[in-house]
Amino acid sequence: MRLDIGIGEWKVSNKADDELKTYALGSCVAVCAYDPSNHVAGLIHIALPDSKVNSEKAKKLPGYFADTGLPKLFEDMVKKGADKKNIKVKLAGGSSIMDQNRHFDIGRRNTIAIKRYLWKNGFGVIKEDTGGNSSRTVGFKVADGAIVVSNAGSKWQL
Amino acid sequence: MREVTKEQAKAALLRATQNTLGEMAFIDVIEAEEQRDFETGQLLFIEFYKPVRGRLLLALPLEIKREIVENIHAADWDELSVNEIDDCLLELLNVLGGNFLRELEQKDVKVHLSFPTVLFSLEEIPDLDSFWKFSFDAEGNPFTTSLALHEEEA
Repeated sequence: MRLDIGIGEWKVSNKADDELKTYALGSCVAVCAYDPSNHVAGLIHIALPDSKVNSEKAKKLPGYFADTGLPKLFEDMVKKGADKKNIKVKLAGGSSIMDQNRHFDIGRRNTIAIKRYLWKNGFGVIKEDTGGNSSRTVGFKVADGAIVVSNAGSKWQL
Repeated sequence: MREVTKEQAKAALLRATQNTLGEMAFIDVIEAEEQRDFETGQLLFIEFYKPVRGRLLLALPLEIKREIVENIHAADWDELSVNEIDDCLLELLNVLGGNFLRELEQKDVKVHLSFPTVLFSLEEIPDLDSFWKFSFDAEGNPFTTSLALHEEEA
């Protein structure tokens, strides 16, 4: 079954037939986490690095922000049978899109904030396809953790 | 020595600082929109000899110093020794110096740097007026890097 994940959402599955899918990542980042021993996969579509900019939104949609979404993702993975020690993380997205003042790069800041959380919580990023200026769609198979990134006309394995 | 303009140096230093602080300490850096005063919590200094000669001074407020150290060690400030704090800041400056020279040359060149050191006062650098001073912003906190490039000795 295909499980579509919108902006600020996350889903976790331990069903081998499932595929987690998220679309049109611009400056947003998909964090794909996988426990290969227990075949538990989780994907979150993060839009902004820090919930301090809008704490009300963070309460309603914690997955929108790296600092509030990532703990939820890993909690749910553990609930579905993942062992935190086994979890491997890959990232996709974080295209270089400037803010309205053409000042800071939101995609880069998202990627950095996510890595900061992961590093401080004992998760390493083993692979990433971030930056650049293209939109990306991500498909993530629960059975084997295979991740395919695509954009208009191209597909590649992460 | 080839002529390096202030703009070229600033662009190379910005890219190097973004890469170094982003990769090592998970802190995003941008060019500051305006110069803001801050109380210096740490002064770090390094000299370089190849492919160009010069000196680099990094001035950090306590907030950024603490953020860098906590992020690199993935530990709370209170758990860290003075040596652990100094070591990671000096290593950061060492990497920043190398990255700056590679960004300046636009290629992966061999670089030669001094050991980085902690300064206790700006008075330890008598000709500070000859440095270019660049202001950056680390996720809302200001800091500066000052740079002097020198002619090769005959």
